[in-house]
Amino acid sequence: MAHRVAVTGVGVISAFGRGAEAFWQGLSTGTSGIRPLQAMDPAELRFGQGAEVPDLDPSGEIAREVLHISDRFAWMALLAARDAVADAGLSAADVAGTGTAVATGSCLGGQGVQDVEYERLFGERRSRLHPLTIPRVMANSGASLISMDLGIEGPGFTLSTACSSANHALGQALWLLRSGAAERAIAGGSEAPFTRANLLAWSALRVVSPDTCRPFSADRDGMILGEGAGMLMLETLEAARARGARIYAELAGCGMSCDAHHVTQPSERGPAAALSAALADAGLAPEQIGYVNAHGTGTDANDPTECAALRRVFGAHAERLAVSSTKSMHGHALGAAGALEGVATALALYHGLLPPTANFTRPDPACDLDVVPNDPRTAEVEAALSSSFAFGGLNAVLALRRV
Amino acid sequence: MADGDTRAEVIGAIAKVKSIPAEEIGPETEFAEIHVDSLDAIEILFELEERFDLSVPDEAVQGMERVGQVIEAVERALAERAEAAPD
Repeated sequence: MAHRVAVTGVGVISAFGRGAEAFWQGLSTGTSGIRPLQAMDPAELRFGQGAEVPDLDPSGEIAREVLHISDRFAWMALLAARDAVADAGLSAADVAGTGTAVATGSCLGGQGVQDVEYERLFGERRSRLHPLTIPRVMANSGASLISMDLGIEGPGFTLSTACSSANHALGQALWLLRSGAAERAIAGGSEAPFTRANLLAWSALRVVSPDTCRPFSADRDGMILGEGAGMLMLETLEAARARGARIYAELAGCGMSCDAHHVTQPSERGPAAALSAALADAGLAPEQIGYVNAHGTGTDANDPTECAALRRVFGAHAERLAVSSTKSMHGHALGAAGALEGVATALALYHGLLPPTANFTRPDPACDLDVVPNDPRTAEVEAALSSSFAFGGLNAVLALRRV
Repeated sequence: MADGDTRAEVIGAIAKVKSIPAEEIGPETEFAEIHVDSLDAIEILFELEERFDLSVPDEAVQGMERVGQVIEAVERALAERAEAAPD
């Protein structure tokens, strides 16, 4: 028997600080968390804004020995996972054991540690690296810390598909629960991209806005990097109902595709295939979808192509879709993006409130969908999609349904 | 480097890695007593290599159980290096 899957808890660390409440407070009021860059002097960069996590100090919550073997991105994964479990009304004892899976997304791994160590090597010309460099940098460090902290002994893995990492992780977790391979899962992603080397690499790629992220606006000029972690507590719907858990939404389906096209240039076909596959996997008709949390990076190339893909899949119903990009508020958190946006989508269904596309100025005829400009909107929608389309053309779309 | 300095540096390296006061460590201290696991051991080796600019092969430290054995090994390595150095 195929199990349905419920989202019963969420944990978030974002530009709005610690907690899903602060995150939703920002998103549901159309407030942008994008601010002047703190991580480095922007004089060296083509941009000066970011959606950095402010004031992260895990020293009171994570043991010194654990901090010592890991990087900031893994600390955020662990804190968000603990928060998701607590938010679901569960304890560590409830999720310990072989019945729970952990699936995380990370695009970059421990870039902060890598920067520091490589500075020793190439900057200071020293010959030795710290012996914990490997475990601190490894991209699965977040999943590993979560497993060790909570005693999770079921399936565990990390997926790295650039901007789609968290959506791929959430999709695999959904299927583990649906098939019965796990009873519950902690799934999501985390990313800490604000390191000097990584920022300079993004600067060189010339896709980050010098100003702010204005998805779907005629004068949009790029993405804004974001930081953070999002973790979702997933349980089978029957188990969640049996224990009387609050259910934010059903994680109903996942669709994946490859563009087989170009490393950075988006395609219409690939995303459309992933959108269609998500609908099919969830058993949803296009007409049942009321909201799409778009990939919506705010780059010249992505936004019109994404709108065209939505039109291709939804046909006439595209006119009745609300499509917003919350990246305008929490930034593009790369391997955590799908997790932050999955939380945003689940909370939108739960609260009956659609977060807007913030920073919107004027419409672009090439993005002529209802992009919920600037103002949040009250709307009870039956089901929603959350899209991630990665560099390298690897796409993953989640379908969520109001319960 | 005088012998007393070597001893203090070795103990300092172990104290740093284990985050315990150096006064709690002496040549007779056993690694099991202060809970040195395999990751701690490679960190201690790293600290020693950095402080003494040595390269310590894996086999040189196998079977060591007490801090004193490390101090002796480092002293030996430093002496060998001094002998090998041209006048």
